[in-house]
Amino acid sequence: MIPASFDYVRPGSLDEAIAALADGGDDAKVIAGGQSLLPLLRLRLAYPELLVDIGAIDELTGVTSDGDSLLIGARTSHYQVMHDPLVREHCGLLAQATGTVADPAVRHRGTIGGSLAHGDPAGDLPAVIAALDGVLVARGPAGERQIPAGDFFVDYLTTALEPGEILTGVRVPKLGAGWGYRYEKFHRTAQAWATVGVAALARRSNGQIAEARVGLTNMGTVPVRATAVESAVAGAEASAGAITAAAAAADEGTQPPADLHGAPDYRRHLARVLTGRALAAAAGV
Amino acid sequence: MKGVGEAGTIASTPAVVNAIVDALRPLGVRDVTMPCTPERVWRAIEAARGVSQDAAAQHQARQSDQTQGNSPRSVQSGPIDPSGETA
Repeated sequence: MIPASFDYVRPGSLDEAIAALADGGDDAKVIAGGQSLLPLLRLRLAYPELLVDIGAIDELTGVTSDGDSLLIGARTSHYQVMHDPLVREHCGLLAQATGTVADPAVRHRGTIGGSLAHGDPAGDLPAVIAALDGVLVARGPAGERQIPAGDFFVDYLTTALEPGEILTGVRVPKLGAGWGYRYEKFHRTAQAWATVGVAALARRSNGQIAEARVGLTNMGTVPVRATAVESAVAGAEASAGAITAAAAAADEGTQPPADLHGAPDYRRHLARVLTGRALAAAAGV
Repeated sequence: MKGVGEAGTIASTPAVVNAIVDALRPLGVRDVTMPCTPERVWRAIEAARGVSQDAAAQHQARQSDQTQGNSPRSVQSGPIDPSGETA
C-alpha cells in the first residue's frame, strides 16, 4: 500500500533535527533505517505529517569507548554493531544478539537506536539492553537525558522518549573477564521475530555463578528481567542441575502475549527452557 | 493425467506425522494434529502426561484461534515479517 502523504526533512545536524522535530510537534516522527516505520506507514498504521530523517547526521553513528562503558550511536546499523571490534571485545552479548535480528538486508538498513526507540517487546535488542543494564541517551529541546533501560520501556511500542526528543545513543557496560553470555532465540523461520528470546549474562567464580542477569524478549508488553531466576542462581553451583532448577522461575511475573506464534502457556514453557539453555551457555556449563 | 506427478509425494506427509507419533508413543501420545508445529507437539506431550489438565482443551481452542487469526500481532506480522523487525 502507498503511505499517506507526509513532509520530509533531512537535517545535517542533531540540533537542526531537534528543531525540526519540535516544529512538527506530535505529528512528527524520526526515521532512521525505516525498517519498522516504513511498513507501518505502508499499512497506514502510522500517518505522521512530518518525517525527520536522521540519516545524514554522522555524529549519531559509531561506537566509542568511554571508561567502563561503550557508547553506541543510535544510527549505528545492526551490521556495524555486529562487526564492531569494541562491541565484540567488550559486549559480546550485544554482537551475538544483533546477529539474530531479522535478515541481512534489515541488518544493513536498520539501526540499534531505531530498534530501541520502536520499543517492540518482540524485538531482540530491548531485552538485551535490559539485561545489560544499558542506559539510553536522548536529546531534546530541554537538553540531554540519561534513561536507564528499566525506565525506558514503558508499554507496548511506547518508550519514555518525550515528543521532540531524539534517541542519540545507548551506553552499555564493558563486560569484564569472567562474564559469559548467550542470546537464545526461538522462532520458526530465520528472519521472524522471537516467539520468545532470552538474553543471559553470567559471571563465574570458583565453580559458582557469582552473578547473573536475564532479559526476556516477547514475554510481556515490555522487555522483562527474570529477577526470580537472577536471585535463585546467584551463588549457586555452576551445574546443569542448579541452572535448570533456577530457570524454572523464568516466567514468574511475566504476562506473555497470545498470538499466532504461541499461546501464553507455551511461551512460559519456552522461557523456562530457553533460560536454562542461555544460562548454561553463559556460565560455561 | 493431470497431477499424476504428485502421487509419489502424497505419502510423505503421513510418513512424517506417523514418525512423530511413533516417537512420542512411549509418552502416551496417540495423535498430533497437522501441522505438527513445535507448540502442538509440546501440547500433545503435555496432554498425554496429564501435567496440564486443560492442555487438550487449549489445544482445540488454539486451533480455532489460528483459523480466525485475529490476534493483534497477526495484523502486523503478516506483511512486516518478511522485511524484518526493526527501524
